Amino acid sequence: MLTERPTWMTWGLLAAASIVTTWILSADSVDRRWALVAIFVVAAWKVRLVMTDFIELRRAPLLGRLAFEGWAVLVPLTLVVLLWQ
Amino acid sequence: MSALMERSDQGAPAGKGSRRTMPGMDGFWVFVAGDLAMFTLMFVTFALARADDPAGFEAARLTLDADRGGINTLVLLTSSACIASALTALRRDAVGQARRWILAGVGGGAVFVVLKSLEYAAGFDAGHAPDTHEFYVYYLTLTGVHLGHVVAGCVLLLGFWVRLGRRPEGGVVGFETAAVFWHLVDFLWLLIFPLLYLAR
Repeated sequence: MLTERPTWMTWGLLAAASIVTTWILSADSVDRRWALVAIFVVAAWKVRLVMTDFIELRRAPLLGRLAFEGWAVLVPLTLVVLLWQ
Repeated sequence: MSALMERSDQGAPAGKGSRRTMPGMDGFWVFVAGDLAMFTLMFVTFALARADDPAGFEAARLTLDADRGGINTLVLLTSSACIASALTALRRDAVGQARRWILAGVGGGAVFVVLKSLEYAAGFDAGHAPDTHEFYVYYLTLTGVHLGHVVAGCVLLLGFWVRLGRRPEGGVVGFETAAVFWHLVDFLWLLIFPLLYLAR
């Protein structure tokens, strides 16, 4: 059974995650590498949330979901690896 | 464009179950894939260049206004939620409500454009031009191409706002396609922002 989140709830989750990322995780007091990982994990989750809830990929064919939601995971992961140094 | 503005019922979602097709017009997903490939290339190129000169890129990153970028993120997310609400209203045939949501969504896009323009003006005033550091080449390219998407999305959504005012009957696939584009603009920013403004 697919659960449908109301739009306002999706917006609230995305906004809260953005506030945490912008004004807490990016603070200089947070270790650079931990911050890097956390910021891109949150970004990947937010991108996937926009895809599943706003674009409604949640109800799309499996292959389409795998391709685009896979992109949402692979790209941030690649960026973390490249920026890790 | 005219095909996109038509509102046919073909491919419309049925209830809460899985659907046979992707949201919007199938062919549009080829454009989405191409767009994602282009941005992926720019993201990776930026990250590789940054790895070659971490100190220089970090110094340049610190000249950006992350607060303004964070506010822009909230503005785009809110605009995306408005367009998602417009689609829900349109499926209920509440065309008047859908048009109000579309206008609110476009308003969010306009705020983004204004804030980004002010950011560019402040940056150029402070001497942050592409010839001062490689970072600004990437910054202006990534945010500039994205800003072009925002403007195109606003024009597209305004087209639907006008169209729905003149001919409110029909299906939703055309608008669903425009909504996919608007959400694409939104989630691209969700990666551009941390990459340029936040990653230390």
